[in-house]
Order: sequence, then structure tokens, then C-alpha cells
Amino acid sequence: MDVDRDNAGRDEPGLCGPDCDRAALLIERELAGRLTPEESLELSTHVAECRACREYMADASVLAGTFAMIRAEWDKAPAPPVARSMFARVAPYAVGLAAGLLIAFCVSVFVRGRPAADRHVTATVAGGVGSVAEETLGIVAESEEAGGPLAPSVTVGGLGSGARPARHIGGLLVVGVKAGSWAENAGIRPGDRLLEASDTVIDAEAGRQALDYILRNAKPGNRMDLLFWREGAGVVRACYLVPDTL
Amino acid sequence: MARQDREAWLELAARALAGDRSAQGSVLESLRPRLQRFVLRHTGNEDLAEEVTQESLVKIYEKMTAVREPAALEGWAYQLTSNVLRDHFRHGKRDEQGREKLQMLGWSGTLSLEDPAEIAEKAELARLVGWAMSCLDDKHRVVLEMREYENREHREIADMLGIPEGTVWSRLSIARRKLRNILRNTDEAV
Repeated sequence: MDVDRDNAGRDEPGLCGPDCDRAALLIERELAGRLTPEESLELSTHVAECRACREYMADASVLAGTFAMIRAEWDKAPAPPVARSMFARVAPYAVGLAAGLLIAFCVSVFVRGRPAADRHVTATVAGGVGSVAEETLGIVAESEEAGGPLAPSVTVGGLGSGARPARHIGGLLVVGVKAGSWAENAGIRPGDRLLEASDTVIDAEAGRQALDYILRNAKPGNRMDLLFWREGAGVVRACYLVPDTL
Repeated sequence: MARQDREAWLELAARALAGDRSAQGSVLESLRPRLQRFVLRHTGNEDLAEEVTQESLVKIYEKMTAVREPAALEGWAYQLTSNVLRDHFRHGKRDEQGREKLQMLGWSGTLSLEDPAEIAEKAELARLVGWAMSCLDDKHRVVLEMREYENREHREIADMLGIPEGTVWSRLSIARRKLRNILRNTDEAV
């Protein structure tokens, strides 16, 4: 059965060529926590240039999380980390590094024209919601009012980038970082925008609620990958380890 | 499996393969909980898991003596169970609603375990992944299942299936990509 439209005629579901077959093997090793630093560099280099492998890598990570969840669910044992980071070995550092660079690269490829990140900030949502993010991450976030006249704020892709549909980057605008918090240690700055948390897109409209939900349901010891948009730097990745007492 | 357990298992398996009825019964009893857990992870449904496990055990009992090597018995039993599961999923009707839910969830893995409604969704998710698994070739599927449902080491899978460890790695990487393609382009699968 051929389930791979792009690779019709191939026996195996290669992504685009021998390099991609090799990358898939390296991704397999990464999932098993067996990637050497040399292999890690090799994988990073390939993935920076190959969109198909980049997408596969993200999916493989989610899929691994899904399997971990399935195992945990029917074991009634303490849940293992749900979101197993693809870059667990290369990104124990808070911000950016390999993953961030890769994603920054990938986003920069899609970007056409300057994103007007902060020009269209509209209203602040009244407090009450979003306190979990403040307590745990130390991020004071300003949410854009749903349906505001100029939100969403940033659009990446779209015209001039081939057939790829426009990608809206909204997210949560960080307006403050609490002293001594995780966010401060991770180098998060006011002006950054939280785009994704544990593979969930933090949409501007329901951003704070979504983030609260994710943080409340995170298990101690879980690793959460947070993606931020930073003006001038593109996407940076930060890893948040859920502490034992939330 | 600890070393003594492993040795005891191999001895039991050898007797069972030689036709010892009581050893065959013990083999089935030893396999039952392991296979049931394996199946439960595929189906997310305890009644169904019971049914599939039972069917597998019957087949294992009937065909057991065709296995030559005691060390191969466990891997063979898993492969047989995996095939029973595959047939179950292939003959089952496709769950359109569940598939939409899967896409909606984006397999985000952020569901909480406490809410009964979410537990039901997890069962659904497990079943959908199980269905996608059933679309893979046998040789790819069983390796991925042993790795992901059973959390077995690559070396162990190689031993169980009697294939080189390198083959386990390459089959895994192929199986995972296929599975992902099936889940991504669900219309093309099946």
C-alpha cells in the first residue's frame, strides 16, 4: 500500500531522498535518546534545510508523546513525560540553541517583509485569567482582545511564498517577566510572544485560557516546549520543566 | 525480563514446544497478562482486549508446536497477536467521527487523565493509532508495536524476532514514517 503521495513509486516511504532516509534513522535514534553529538549536528544540519524532515520530526515527537500517553493510560502507572522533546539532549538550555536556530531559520525562510509585531496591540484582557502562567512561568502576558480591529498582529508567509498559505502569528504578548522566575532565567523578554506550548498553538483569542489549561494539567517532571516569537530573532524555543509542586 | 525469569521461561518454552501439555498451559497463562496489556494499548477497550487476547491465545495454543526455537516463542506469540489485531482493525469499520477528533486534538497530548470524558477520548485516540498501525506491513508493524506499546529495547526486539539490531532500527524508522503518513493523510490510507 502506498500511503505517501509525494513518493509514489518508491518502495519505502522516504521523505525526499537518501539524506532523508538517513535523517529518519537519526530521528529514530533521537527518540530513543541515543543520538551522539556528531549525529545531532548532522540531523540539525539536514533538518535546517529540509522542510519535509522538519515536519516529520515534529510529528514523530508528537507521536512519541501519544504512545507514552497510551502506555501510561493503560498502566495506571505514573505518567511519563508526555511531550518528549526532540531536542532533549541538545536543548537543556533555556532558550534557543539548536532547535531555536533551526526554527528561526525555517521561519525566516517563510517571512516576507517585516512582521509588524507590536504595532497592533489592542486591548488588555482584564485579570483573573492567566494567573497560572504568571505563577508558574513568571510571565505576565497581555492578551489581545478577540476580534479587535487590527488583531491578529503578525502574518508570516502568504503572498510571495509560493503556494504556502499565510501563517498567522498571534500568540501571547509578554509584557512583563517576574524577577527570579523561570521566564527570567530562560531569558524571556517583554515583547516576546508565546506561540506554542507543548505543541498546542496558543491563539491570541483564547491564549491565556489555553495556557492555563495546559499548565494546570501538566504533570510534575514533564518537559514542556515553549515557542516564542522574538522580533528580529524569529522563533526561539524554551524548555520548561514542570516542578514537583505546581 | 530478569535473567532467572528468562531462563525459567526458556525452559518452560522448550517443554511446551516439545508437546508437554501442562507446560503449554503455563506458557499461555504466562503470556496472557502481557498480551492483554499489549492489546489493550491498541484498542483502548477492555472487553475488546479480552476478546482479542482470547482469540490470540487459542491460535497460539493450536500452532505453538510449529515454533522451533524456545527463544523465538515469545516474539512469535506477539507477532501472531499483532496479526489478530491487524485483522480486527482491518475488518472493523472506519471511525470517521473519531478521526476528526484526532485531527482536532492535533495529537497534542495535553489531555488530562482525570476527566472521564477525556479518558474516553484517549481510548479513542489509542484505537485510532491502533487502526493506523494495522495499515502497516507485518514486519514493520510488529517492530514499532514492540517498541512503542511494550517499550522494549532495540536489542531485545532483535532477539525476540531473530533479526539484526540494525534491521530493527531501519524498520522502526520506516514504520514510524508510514504511520505518520497514514495519520496525516488519512484519506489515502486503507
